[in-house]
Amino acid sequence: MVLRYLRAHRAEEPEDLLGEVFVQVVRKFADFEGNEQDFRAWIFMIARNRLIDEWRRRRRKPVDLTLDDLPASAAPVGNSEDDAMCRLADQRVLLILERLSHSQRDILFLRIFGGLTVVEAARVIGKTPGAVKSLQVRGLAAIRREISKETVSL
Amino acid sequence: MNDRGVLIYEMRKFWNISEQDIERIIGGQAPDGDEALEDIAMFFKDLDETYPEVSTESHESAHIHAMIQTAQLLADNGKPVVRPASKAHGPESQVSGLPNLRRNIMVKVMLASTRVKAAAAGVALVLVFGGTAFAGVLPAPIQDAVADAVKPIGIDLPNPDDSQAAEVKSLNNDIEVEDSGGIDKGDKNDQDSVGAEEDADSNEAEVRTPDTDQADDGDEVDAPDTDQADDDVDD
Repeated sequence: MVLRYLRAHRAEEPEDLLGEVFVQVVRKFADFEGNEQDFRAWIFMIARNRLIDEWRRRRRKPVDLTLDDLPASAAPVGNSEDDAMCRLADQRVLLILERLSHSQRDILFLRIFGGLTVVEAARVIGKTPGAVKSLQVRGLAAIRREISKETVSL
Repeated sequence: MNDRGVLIYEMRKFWNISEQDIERIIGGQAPDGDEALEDIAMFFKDLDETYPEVSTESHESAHIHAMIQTAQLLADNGKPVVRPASKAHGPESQVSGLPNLRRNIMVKVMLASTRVKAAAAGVALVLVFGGTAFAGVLPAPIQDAVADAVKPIGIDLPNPDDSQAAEVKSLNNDIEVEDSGGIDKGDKNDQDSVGAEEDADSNEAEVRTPDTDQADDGDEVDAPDTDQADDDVDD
């Protein structure tokens, strides 16, 4: 879950960052209070903060999604036709994600990869649930708009 | 209808969708009977497949190792986890050994704490890699402690006495977590080397800005330029 979140955010070394997250979890575990869902949200909060640290180190904006930088899923899966189809599907996903703001992507990633609710995602990013819901709706609407553009262009 | 009009129309539509239906959509399933939302559900399915859950065993082992090392360091009451970057303030006190009684107490405290800290590592692993990946990876006493620790938050872990738990022990030798008798001299050496690694880590921690340290504490820190205006989709 966390690894996918880090990958989706284009972390430079997602596996290493995940290791840092784990170590931080161990270090701060004594401060944690809550149930399993709270713990999940807490881990994602740490992961997100580590990600922010990485962005700061690299002194750049959070995400520059590019088609040249597709995730590991773009690795060959079988015959060349299937590979090409997978590659196209991945490119399409990235193209659409590119159209979203970073905050919208972040909310959707937390919800998809972290399985967090609106309230938990709000806690992770430090916004109100209303603001998160608004971002989510805007994100979904933007995705829908991009998909409808594809349909029109066909 | 222009782009902006389409967006507003879509936003109104999504605003009225229930939270359960939103969850279904981002889970890759269109809400019942709503064919109009199938395309967006398909998009989320594709997104899910674009970023598969892939982690190599070597990485998992490295993570476990790092966490247990951290747990051991935290448990060592005699040494701070964050050490000074230089010795400009003076050398550390050279203590050849503690009195026996005190040493025994320290070992007990350290063991208890190690188990608790390792439990944290286990919980994280369960949540991130799933219970099967976790089962049997940690030494039995640690896994036992993990199982106890995660029970209150509703996670059932395999009993370390299960055959499955007994299968994977290769990591035990590398980690050398004490299972009953504390840390021997060899372990002490390992701890020293771990300490050296931790020093490097500590140095990094020391040069961090205060707000980064806040980030470490799990507090919210806004990334620079990350929070673009919510309305930037209107562009």
